[in-house]
Amino acid sequence: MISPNRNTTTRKDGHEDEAVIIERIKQKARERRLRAAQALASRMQRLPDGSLVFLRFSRGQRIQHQILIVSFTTLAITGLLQRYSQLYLVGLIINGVFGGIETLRTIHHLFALVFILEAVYHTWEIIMSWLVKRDSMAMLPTIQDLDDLVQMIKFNLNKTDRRPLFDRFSVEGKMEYWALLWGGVVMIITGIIQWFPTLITKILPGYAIPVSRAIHSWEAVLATLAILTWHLYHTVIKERNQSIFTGYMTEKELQESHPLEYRRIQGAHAYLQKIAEEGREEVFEHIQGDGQHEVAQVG
Amino acid sequence: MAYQFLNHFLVAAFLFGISWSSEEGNKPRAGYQLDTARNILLIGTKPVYAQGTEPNRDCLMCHSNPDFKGSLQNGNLVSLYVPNGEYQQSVHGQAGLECVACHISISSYPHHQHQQINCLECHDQHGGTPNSFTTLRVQLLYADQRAMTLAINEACRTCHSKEFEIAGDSAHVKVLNSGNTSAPVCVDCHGSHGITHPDQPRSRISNTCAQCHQSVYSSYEASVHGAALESESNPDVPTCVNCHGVHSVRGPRDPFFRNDSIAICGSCHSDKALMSKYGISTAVFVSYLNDFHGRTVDLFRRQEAGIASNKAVCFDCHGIHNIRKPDDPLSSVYPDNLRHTCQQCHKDANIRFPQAWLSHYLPTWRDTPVLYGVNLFYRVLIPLIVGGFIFYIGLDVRKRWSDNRRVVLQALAEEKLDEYDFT
Repeated sequence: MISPNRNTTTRKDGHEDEAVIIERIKQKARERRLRAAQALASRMQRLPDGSLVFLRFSRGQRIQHQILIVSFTTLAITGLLQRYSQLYLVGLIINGVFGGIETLRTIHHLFALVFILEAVYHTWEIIMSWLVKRDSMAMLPTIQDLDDLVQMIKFNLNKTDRRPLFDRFSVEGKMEYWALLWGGVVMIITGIIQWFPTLITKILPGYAIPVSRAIHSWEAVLATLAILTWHLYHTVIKERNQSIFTGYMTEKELQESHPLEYRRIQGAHAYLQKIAEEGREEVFEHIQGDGQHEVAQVG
Repeated sequence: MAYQFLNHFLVAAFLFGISWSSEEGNKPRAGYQLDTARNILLIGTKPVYAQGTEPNRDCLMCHSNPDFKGSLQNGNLVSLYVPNGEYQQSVHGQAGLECVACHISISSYPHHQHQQINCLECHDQHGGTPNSFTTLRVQLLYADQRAMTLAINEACRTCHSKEFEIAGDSAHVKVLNSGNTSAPVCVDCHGSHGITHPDQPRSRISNTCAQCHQSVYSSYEASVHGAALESESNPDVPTCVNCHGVHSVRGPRDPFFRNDSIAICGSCHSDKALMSKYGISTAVFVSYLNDFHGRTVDLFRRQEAGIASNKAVCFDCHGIHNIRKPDDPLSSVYPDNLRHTCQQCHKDANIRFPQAWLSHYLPTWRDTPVLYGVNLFYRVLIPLIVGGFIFYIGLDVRKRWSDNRRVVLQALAEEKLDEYDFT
C-alpha cells in the first residue's frame, strides 16, 4: 500500500493530509471492488469436459437445507396430525403408526429442537456474513422484486414480451425465503409458549397460550401449503433445479433462470482480466494473500 | 329302610333333573316343573291339604313364622321368616313366581334329611291342624349367613343370565373372586324377597350404593347432581349407575374408565335438548375436545391398549362426586380456586396460568377478540395467499405450455447486458 504520491508526510499537528486520506479511501474501495469481483468470479468453475458450472449454494447452506427438509417435513406431519387428530383416520395413524400421541409429541419436540438450533445457526451466519464479512445482501427484498413479480405476471398473461431478468435470487425464491424466515420465527415463538406454559405465564398473560395455539396451528397449514405449491413448483416442477443438492447450476440453467447473476459473474471476470492486463500487480498481489487463485485459472 | 333309600334315590334323580333342565334354559316356570315332579315322585312327602291352593302355601306353612330360625354351622342363628306380604308386593311375587323358582335346591320336606323336625312342634296331635306359631329351629348346612346368601344368590342366574354375566366382569365380583365375601352380590343391592324396581324413585339407586359407599354418597349428595336428585327428584341428573354402569360397575381406577369418562360426561353435556332445559352450554364438550387435554385423552381413548392418559379429564378439574356449579365458591373451578386446581398437575402454575383456559367457550369476537381475530385472519389469509400462489403458478404453466421454449431462451440470450456493472 505504498503510494507514489508525495503527500505522505504528516502535518505538524500530527494529522494526515486530506489528500492522503482520500487516496486511502479510494484504495480501500478498489480493494473491496477487487475482492467482490474475485468472490463473484470464484463461483464459476470449469469442469474437465470444458463446460461451465456456477456455484449457487455453499456446502454449509446445502447441509442446512437438507436438515431443514427433514425437520420441516417431520414437524409438518407430526403437527398436522395433531391438528386433525379428531378425524377417525388420523386417530388410527397416530395410535397405530406413531404409537400414541405422547410419542408423536416427543418426536415433534425433538425435531422442533433441531429446527430451533438451525434457526439460531442461520441467524448467526447471516449476522456474520452481512455485518462482519460484508458479503452481498442479495437476499434482501427490493423494489425491483415487486416490479419483477408484476412483470412476470404480465409476461405470462402475454401483456408484454419482456420477461423479467432475475438476479442471484429471483423474486420467487426471495418470497419463499422470507416466508420461511417469518413463519419460522412465528412457529418457534408460539411453539415454545405452548411447550412451557407455566414458565411462559410468568412473563406473559395466560391468554397467550390459546392464541399461540391458534397461530401455530394455522401457520402450519399455511407453511405446508406454501411449500407444496410455491416452493415445489418453482424448484422441482418448473425447472428440476438440483442446485440445492449439488451446489451448482449449469451455464444454461443459470442463464435462463438468473440471467443477471450470470452476467454479473461474467462482468467480474472481465474486470479481473482488465486489471491483470493493465498490470496493476501491486493490488493484485495484495489480495492474492487471501488465496483467490481460481480467478486466474478460470479467467 | 328300603323306603328311605328309594326316597334318597328319587331326590337325587330329581335334583339332577332340575339342574339339567335349568341348564337347558327351561327357566321361568321351574316351580311348576318342580311341583309336578314332586307330585309324581315325592307324593309321600307332600302335605295333602296344600294341593290345589296357592303354590307357596307349603313353604309359608313354616316360613311365615316370625320366630322360625335356622342354626348355622358357626352356631349363629339366622331368621328363616319370609314376610309374605312383602313378597307378594315384589316383582317376583306379582309375576306369580313360586319360592322354589329361586330356592332351586329345595326339593323335599324337610329340606335335608338331618333337619328332623318333630311333627308335634306344629301339630297338636297326629292329623291335627297346625298350632299357632311356635319357636322353630332347624340345623342348616351353611357355614355362616354370608355363605347362605352367596349360595342362594346363584339362583338369580337362572333367569337373569345376561345381567349375571355382565356383573361377572364388574369390580364388585372381582373383589368377591379375590376372596372378599363381603363384596356385593345381586341380593345385596336388589334385596331378596321384597325385590321391586330399583329405580323407583330414582334416588333409591344412589341410596342403595350409599349402603356401602357412604362417604362417596355424602359428597355426591352435596353436589349439583346429587342435590337435584335428592331434593327435586330430577329425572335428568346422573345417579351412581349412569356414570359407573349398572351391573358392569367398573373400578374408577380402571384406565378405560378414566379415558371413557369424558364420553360419560359428554353424553349429557353435549345433548342440546337436555342442556337447554338448564341453560348449560353444550360447547363444553366440543371446546374440551378441541383443547390440548381433550385431544390427548380422546386419542388415548381410541387406543386399544387401555393406557390411562395423565392429561386432565372432566373430573380432574370439576371434582368427582362433589361436582358443583362453576359459580359456586366451593367449586374447584370457581375462578378463585382455579389456580389451586391447575396446580394439581402444573405444580408451578402462577395466578396468570388459569387465564390460558377460556372457560369452555368457543372463541367469540366479544369475549376473546384476539383469538377470534387470529382465526379470522388466517381464514382469510390462507385462501388469499395460497390462491395467489396457484394463480401465479397457473399462469406460468400456461405460458410455458403455449410458448416455444427456445424462443424464450433466445430472447434472453439476446438481451443487452454487456454494460452491466457487476457490483
